[in-house]
Amino acid sequence: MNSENTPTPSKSAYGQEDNSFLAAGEFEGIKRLVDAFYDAMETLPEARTVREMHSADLTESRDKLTRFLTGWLGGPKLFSEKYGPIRIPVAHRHLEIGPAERDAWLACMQVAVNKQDYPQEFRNYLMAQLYVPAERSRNKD
Amino acid sequence: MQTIALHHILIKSPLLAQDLAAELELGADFSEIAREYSACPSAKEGGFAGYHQQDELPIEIITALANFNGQKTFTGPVFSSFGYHLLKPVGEKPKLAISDENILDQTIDSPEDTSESAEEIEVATS
Repeated sequence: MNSENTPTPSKSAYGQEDNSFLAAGEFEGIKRLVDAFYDAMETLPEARTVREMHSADLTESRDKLTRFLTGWLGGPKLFSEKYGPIRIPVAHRHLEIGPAERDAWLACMQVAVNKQDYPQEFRNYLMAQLYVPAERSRNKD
Repeated sequence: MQTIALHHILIKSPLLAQDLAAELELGADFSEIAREYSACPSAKEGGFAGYHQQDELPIEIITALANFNGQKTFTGPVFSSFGYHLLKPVGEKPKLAISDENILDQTIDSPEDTSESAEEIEVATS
């Protein structure tokens, strides 16, 4: 009876409960997304700067992002289980992130998202929602 | 009428509200997020917006606090005319006033409860 009194921020069901986690294909699906994301980072010319912010070996980055996105999308909190609590903007303060770096990161994500077998609606939702932590991590103009 | 200690983070963008909710769920500190992102002057108090009578607050906030199940450390985002609220329930839960709608439901389901509901309405409106 109270659902009408608590409208959700988005009309879409994504973002509610673990809907986004399920739509992304759960842990295995998110792992595929993250692998495609770092593969794009290795190849996209505009992503060279953000690639250089990472270690040569991306194994831990892949693990961290997979675990982070699992919890961020409403699934199990695998990141904090292994690495402790995280605040995305704080975790990136040691890096110089401007609009170009933010957009390069998002470009890699767009390539990765497009490669997944997701409904277009979910792709759009995911990219719009991912813009937020990307923009919050920006620390220079 | 119950007094409510309101702890909230007020966000104008639904996308940001959703992202901050995810971050809180991943273990971020409520007052720290409030200080950094809340659009309410209570930001500088770490989200503590003072004590309020139940009827001074938007019904959406009261409903969310009343329905809080304690599984997380916060609830929301909850939309009101002010924007999107992330709420940290503190103290006793508010009791929901009975609306015309659910009086009707109760009358249909169990006529014997009607008199009791009527009493409660008197209390709620007095």
